[in-house]
Amino acid sequence: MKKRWLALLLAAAMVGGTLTGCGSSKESKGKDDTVELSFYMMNSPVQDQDRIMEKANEIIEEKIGAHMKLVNVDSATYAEKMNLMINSGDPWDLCFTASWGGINFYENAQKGAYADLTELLPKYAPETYKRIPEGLWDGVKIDDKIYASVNYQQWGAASRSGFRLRKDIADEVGFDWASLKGMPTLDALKEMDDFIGKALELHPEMIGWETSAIKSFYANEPLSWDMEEVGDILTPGWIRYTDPDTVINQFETEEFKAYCEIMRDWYNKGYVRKDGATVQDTSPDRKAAKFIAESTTGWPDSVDFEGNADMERMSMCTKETAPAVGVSNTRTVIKAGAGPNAAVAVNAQSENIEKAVELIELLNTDDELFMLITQGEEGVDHTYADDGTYSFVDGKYNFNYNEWQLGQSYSPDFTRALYDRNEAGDKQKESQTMVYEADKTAEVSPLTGFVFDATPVKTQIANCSSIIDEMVPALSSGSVDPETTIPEFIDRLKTAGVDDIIKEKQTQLDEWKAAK
Amino acid sequence: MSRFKKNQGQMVKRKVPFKRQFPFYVMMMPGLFFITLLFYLPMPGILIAFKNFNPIDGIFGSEWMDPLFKNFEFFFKSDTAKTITFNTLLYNVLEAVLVTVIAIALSIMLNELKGKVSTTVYKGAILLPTFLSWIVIQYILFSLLSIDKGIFNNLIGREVQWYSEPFYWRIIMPLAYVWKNVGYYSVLYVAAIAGINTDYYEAAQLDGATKWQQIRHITLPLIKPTVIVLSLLWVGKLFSGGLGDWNAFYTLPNNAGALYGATDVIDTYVYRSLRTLGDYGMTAAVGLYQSLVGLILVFGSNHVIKKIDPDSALF
Repeated sequence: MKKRWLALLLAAAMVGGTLTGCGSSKESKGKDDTVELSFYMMNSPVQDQDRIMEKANEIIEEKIGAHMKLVNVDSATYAEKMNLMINSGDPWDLCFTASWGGINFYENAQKGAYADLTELLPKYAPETYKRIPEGLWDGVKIDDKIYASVNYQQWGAASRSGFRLRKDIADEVGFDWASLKGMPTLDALKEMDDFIGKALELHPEMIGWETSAIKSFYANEPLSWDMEEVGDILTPGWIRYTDPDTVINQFETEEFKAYCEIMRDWYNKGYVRKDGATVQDTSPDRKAAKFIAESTTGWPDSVDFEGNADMERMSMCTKETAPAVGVSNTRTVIKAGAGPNAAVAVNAQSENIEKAVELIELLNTDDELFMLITQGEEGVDHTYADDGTYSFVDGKYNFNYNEWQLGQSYSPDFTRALYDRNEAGDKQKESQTMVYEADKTAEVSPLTGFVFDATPVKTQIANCSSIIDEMVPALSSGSVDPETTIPEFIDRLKTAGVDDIIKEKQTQLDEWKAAK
Repeated sequence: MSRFKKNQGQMVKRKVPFKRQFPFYVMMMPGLFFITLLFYLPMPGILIAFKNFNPIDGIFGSEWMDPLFKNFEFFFKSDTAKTITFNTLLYNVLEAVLVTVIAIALSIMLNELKGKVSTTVYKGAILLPTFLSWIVIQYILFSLLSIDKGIFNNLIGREVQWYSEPFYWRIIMPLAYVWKNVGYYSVLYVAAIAGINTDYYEAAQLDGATKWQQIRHITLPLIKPTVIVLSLLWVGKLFSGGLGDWNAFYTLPNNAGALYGATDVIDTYVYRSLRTLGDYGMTAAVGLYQSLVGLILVFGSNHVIKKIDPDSALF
């Protein structure tokens, strides 16, 4: 009898033992002695990735004696998963990082999660380091230390915002869209009022202007209002370019009030969706070519340069279904956030930090390798038609246009992206040359290099962000009356401690300026 | 259900030799093991609520907050703390009462049904929503309530803005919860009713008791212990949205800001305010506060029950 119980006990203990044993197996090293470097990025599943990565790894092994393991994480969960891996100390070597979408570049860098690359970059990645404008490196610095390698892109680093509207309808109504050029955003919106009204009379099934719960043309687009965010875009506290030393509450401005009033007016007139405050996804409307006008950040616009393909069609449409013209109305600025807009960080806990930096350099300088991973093989994954236009082959390797996360697509000789081998391709190169030139002459944000440490006002930020989440979508889509709602909104923000946040931002900004 | 019948006889307290209890301990082992692994080992994590948590320094290495309760400030200082606490309590009480009443009613009715096929069909139909996730229900609801393509709006021929009028959601939220959960609990009660000795009913029928009298005097008193145990378990979750399953409050309103006043519970508020901030300390503080209140409520209500009806108390 006794023995049988003993056996049972033993069995139970063994079950327990195997269960605890599961958690402790560590990620194994690559074959032989070559180092395996894991690279985490945001991407949907990619067809045929094994075939391409095998070829890519041959190059990488030959050049730096390492292997790269590219790990795709779905974009909806990337930020959460990466932060979780960082916080729980899981092994990873390189990852895509940014200061938007919850990826928290600054916070993770301050926490010590990313390796300090200040000395490693010039040593192991000299070409990468040289190629990027100094202003962008300042953007990824905290206390004068660089924590990520900036991915400088073919579309440049400077931002300029504006509008895109339907060309066919503008011609029909007789709207002089080019007059919007350089006009302050408020005036431009008023100017468009009449155009949208007439357009909707002719095309009642269309929608005048895009509103949604996830993007406010005011709260998410400081540049359009000649302002820039200090720290995270959705926390209170922006500056005006005309007065860069004073932090203001962006919701307490005349501009916000005037914008909400216009949207209220448009809502009452039926220019915008009635449920704009709650719509999460506007892509069905976009794909159905329903919008008459929308905001855009692309440039050069149709006034400066005819033939920029991105400006000649509405978002998510083709030139045939929704022909468009673009016109930009803001200044051209390299914002403080341009550096960590897309960057690659190395894990501070990684055993192969130097190798990882070497890999960054290789990805940024070896055009053959970069093109292989981001565009696949010519003739297999993408082909050129007789007229020179390239297209991806259905069902073959396709990187989902995520090359900007992996490294620099910037290249002065246009060797790091696919271009049509015809006039359209030449046009694109010509337009990109304009972008590169503009990058060199663009204003650099007065905030570049300043990093806001939110720790002292975390409580207030948490409470304010919840109120902003609740009120801003309704206000910016016109579904509530700004006359009564804005004072209520500001009152609630004040109770939640918005003034503490503004004051803290101001103090830190002053200190930073003084130290400079 | 045998353990609920114990109160019919007298419990005699006497010492049982360990040797005879040993098999039971062995049977408890796997359960104990997992409780220890999943609930007791992570307990030091409570410290995070009082620390400026930094994952690289770890739970013990991180600095203490100064003042110690600073992480708790966020919740109690917010202007919506009252609203969301009220919402949490209101919906929890409403949902617990509605689910219990409707589930008991359903299970009694199911028990009276004699046709084999019809019982199976009804049970299946009632139970089905339990297996749908809230995300699926969110989409079902959206297809019903969407302003331009919604089934309801097309039926009544008006453009009702379901997603901007908080009042509707005071009804929709409990309704959705009941619809999803009532099947699960009615299964529990069907089992409890099936455990009742049929002799009672036969005797009552001989004495000429009506169906209603049988339900009132036999069924309800005998399933009372089950009701009490389930209610006690719920009381502990009174301060967690949706009785611990706050998914509904996060998904169903489709993130519509206008509805927050009516649909926000403690958990959704905390999730939304701290998600982008990634602050573990403040999140842990609110979690600790919820569990502490839950613990006090469980002990308190158990104490009260013990006074009124000692046999039904949980411990």
